[in-house]
Amino acid sequence: MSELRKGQCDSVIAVVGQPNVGKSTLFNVLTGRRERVGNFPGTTVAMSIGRRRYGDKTMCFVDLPGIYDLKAVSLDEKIARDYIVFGDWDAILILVDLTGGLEGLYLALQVLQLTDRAVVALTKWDEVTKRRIRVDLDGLSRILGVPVVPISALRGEGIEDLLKALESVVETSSRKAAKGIHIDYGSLENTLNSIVKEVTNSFKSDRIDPRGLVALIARGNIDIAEKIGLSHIARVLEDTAKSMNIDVGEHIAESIYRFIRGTFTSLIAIEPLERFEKKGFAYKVFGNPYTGFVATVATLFSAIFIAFAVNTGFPFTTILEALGRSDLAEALESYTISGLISQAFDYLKNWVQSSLGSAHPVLASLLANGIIEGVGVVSSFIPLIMITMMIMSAIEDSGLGPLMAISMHSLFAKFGLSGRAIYPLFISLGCNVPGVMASRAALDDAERFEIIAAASFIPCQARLIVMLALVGFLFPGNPALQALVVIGVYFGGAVLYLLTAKIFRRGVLRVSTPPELILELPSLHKPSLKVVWWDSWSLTKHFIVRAGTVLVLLVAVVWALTSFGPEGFVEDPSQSWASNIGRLIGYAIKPLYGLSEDSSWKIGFALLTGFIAKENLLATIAVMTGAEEYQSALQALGLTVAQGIAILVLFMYYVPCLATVSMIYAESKSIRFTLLVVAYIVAVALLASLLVYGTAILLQH
Amino acid sequence: MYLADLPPNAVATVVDIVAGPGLKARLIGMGFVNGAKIKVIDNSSGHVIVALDSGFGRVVALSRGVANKIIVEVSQQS
Repeated sequence: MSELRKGQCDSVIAVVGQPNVGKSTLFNVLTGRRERVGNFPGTTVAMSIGRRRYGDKTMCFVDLPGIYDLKAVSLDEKIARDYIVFGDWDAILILVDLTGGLEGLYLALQVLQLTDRAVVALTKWDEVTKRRIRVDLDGLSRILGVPVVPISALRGEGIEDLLKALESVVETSSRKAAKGIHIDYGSLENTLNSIVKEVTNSFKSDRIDPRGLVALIARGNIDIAEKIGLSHIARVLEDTAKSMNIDVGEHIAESIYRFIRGTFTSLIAIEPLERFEKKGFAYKVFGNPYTGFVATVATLFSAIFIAFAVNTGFPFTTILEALGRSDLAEALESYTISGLISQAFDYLKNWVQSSLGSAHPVLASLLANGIIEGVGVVSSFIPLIMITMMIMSAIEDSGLGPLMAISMHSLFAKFGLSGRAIYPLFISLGCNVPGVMASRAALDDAERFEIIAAASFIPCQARLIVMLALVGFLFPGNPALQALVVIGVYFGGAVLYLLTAKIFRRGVLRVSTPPELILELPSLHKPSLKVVWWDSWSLTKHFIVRAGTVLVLLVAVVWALTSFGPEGFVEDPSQSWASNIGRLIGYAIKPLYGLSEDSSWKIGFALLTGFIAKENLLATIAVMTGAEEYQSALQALGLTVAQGIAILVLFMYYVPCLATVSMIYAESKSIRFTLLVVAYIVAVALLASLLVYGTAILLQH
Repeated sequence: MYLADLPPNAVATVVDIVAGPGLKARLIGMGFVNGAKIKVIDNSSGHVIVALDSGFGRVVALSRGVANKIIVEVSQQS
C-alpha cells in the first residue's frame, strides 16, 4: 500500500458503498479517470485509484468493490473489509443511497463502528429531493459522528463540499485515535467487552476502534482474529453462542438493523411500507413471466440489430446480395464503420507494400500482413465493442437489466445460469468477442466462467454468412429447407451454450447448487449518457489493452506461419508451414467424413484460416479451388449432402476465432482455462458434426 | 409460513432464515433480518419480488428457492 504514498498521494481515501449506490459515477466526476496500481494484497484483483487535486494537495481515491455487508463471504467483501481494517488510508468515504431505503445505512454503520475518520456522502441527492424524502442532515451527522454531505454526482453538486469535508477529516484525524460509533449489543456486551481488552493489546492501529473490530469479528469474520494472532476468540464466541443459545453473527446484524430503525426513522421521513407500490408500464411488462420473456428478447434483438447495421451494414448487405444487387451491398458496406476502418488499413498496407515491397519483400510483408493487419483487426473490433457495450450499459443504467434478468431466470436456472446470461447470448449473435466480455453481467464468478466457456457456440455474424453460402449450395432452390437448417444451427448453438454452462458448472467449477437469484431492482429511469459513455469506454479500453495486445501478437504469429515454409520466405501460402498444418488437419478429418484427398486438405486449411477469422472459411476455399465465386468453389470440393451438412456443423462450432480466444484469455486471466475451453469446444464440435453426419447418412438410406 | 407462500400485497415480518451461511449473509446484507418488515410486490412466477422495510426504497427479486428459505409472520393483508 505504501506505493501509493510514494506515488504522489498526499492523502489516501478509501471509497466504499453498496452496489447501485452510484460509486462509479462519483468516481468519474471526482477523479476523471481510474488507473490500475497493482493488485489488492494477496489477490489477483486489480486495485484502481483516481487522483484529484484539491488546493495544493493530491487526494488519491481507492476504489473498493461494491458490497452489501462487511461480513466477508465473497472475494469482493474480503477485499473491501481487509482494506478498511488493515489498509494504509487516511479517510474512508462511505456512499449511501437513501433512495434505496434505510438499509443503505447498514454498511455505513458497520464501517463507522470501526472508525470516525470518515465522511458519509448521500448520493443521488436530486432523486432524494424529487421524491420528497426529508432528511435531517445535521441530526444525521451528529449521530453518525462524521460529516454528512449530500451530493448529486451527475449534476456535479456537492462535490466541493465533499472534498472540503474529506480534507478536514484527513487534517484533524491524525491527532487522536479513532473512535467508532457505539451500537448496543445487549446480552452480548459482556463477551464483547472482554474481547475488546485483548484486541486493544494485540492490534495497534490508531485508525481502527478496537470495539468496532470486535463487533466485526463477532459478525462472522473469525479470520481477522486469526490474522491479529487471537485465534482463540473463535472459541470464546462459540462458547457464548452455546450458553446463550443464539447465533452471535446474526445477533450483531440484527442489533445494527434495530439501531438503524430506532435511530433514523425520526431523522429521515419515509413512507410506510403498506402504501408502497411498484408502478410503471415497463415494470408491468417485464415483471410478467410471459410478456417479460417476449419483451426481453425483442429489446435485445433490436438493440443488437441496430448495433450491427451501423457497424457492418449487416443484414442489409446480405439482403441486397440475395436480391442480386451485390454492387449496392458493396457500396453500403464500404460506408459502414468497419468498412471505413478496413479501407484505411488496406490503404496503409498497400502503401507499405508499394514503397517497400521491391527492396525488402520480407520486411514489407511483415509490416503489412503481420503488424498493420493485426492492428487493423483490433481496430475493426473497437466500434463494434463500443456500441454493444453502450447498449448493455444503457440497459443496465436504466434499471431495466435486472428486470430482464428475472424474466429469463426460471429458464436459465435449469442450466446453471442466472437470467443475466441472456446478454452474452444475444451479443454473441453479433460477435463472440463482446459476447465473452458481456460475461461481466454474471452474478458471480462461477456463472461468469460458465458464460466465457459457452459464448463461442453462438454462431456470430461472420459464421452466418458462411452458413448462408453453404445452405445455398447444399439445398439449391429449396428455401424452406435452407431456412430450417439455419434455424437448426442457431437452435443448436443456443442448446450448446446452455449445456456447456451446465457442464462447466458441475464438472469444472464444481458448483452443484442451482444459481439463486437475489437481485436488487433499482428504480427505472432514463439512462445517463455520461454513465453510458464512461462504462462503455472503460470496457473498450480493457479490450484494446488486454485482448488487443494478445490479438496483435497472434496475428503476427499467423503471418509467420503463412509467409514461411520449408523453403524459407514464400509468396504463395500453399507452400507455407500453415498449409502443412492444414494438410495435417485434413488428414485427421479425412477418414471421419470419408472425404477425398484433395478436398480434405483444402477444408483442413480453411479450418486453420477460419480460426484467424471465420469469414476466411469461404475465402480460403475459393482461393484454393481457384474458383471465382463461392458456389463454384464449394462445387469443386465435390461434397455429398451428408458431408456438406457435417462440414457446415463443423464450420459453425469448431473453434472460437483468434480474437475470441484472446478475449477468453483476457477475461479469465488463465491460460489453462483458455486452453481447456478451446479443447472442449473443438471436441464438442467434432462430436456434433459426426453425429449429424451419421444421422444424415442414416436418413439417406 | 414461508415468504414464497405470501400473496401479492401481503405485509409480513421476517422471523428466521433457514439457509447456509453464505446465502444467509447475502440476505442479511440486503436487509432480510429478523424483525425486518417486508411487503410482497409480486409473486406470480419463478420469483418473488419484495419491498423492504423502509418503504420507498429497496426492492429485491428472489428466486423461489430463496423465498422458500425465509420464514415470515403475516402482520396484515390487503
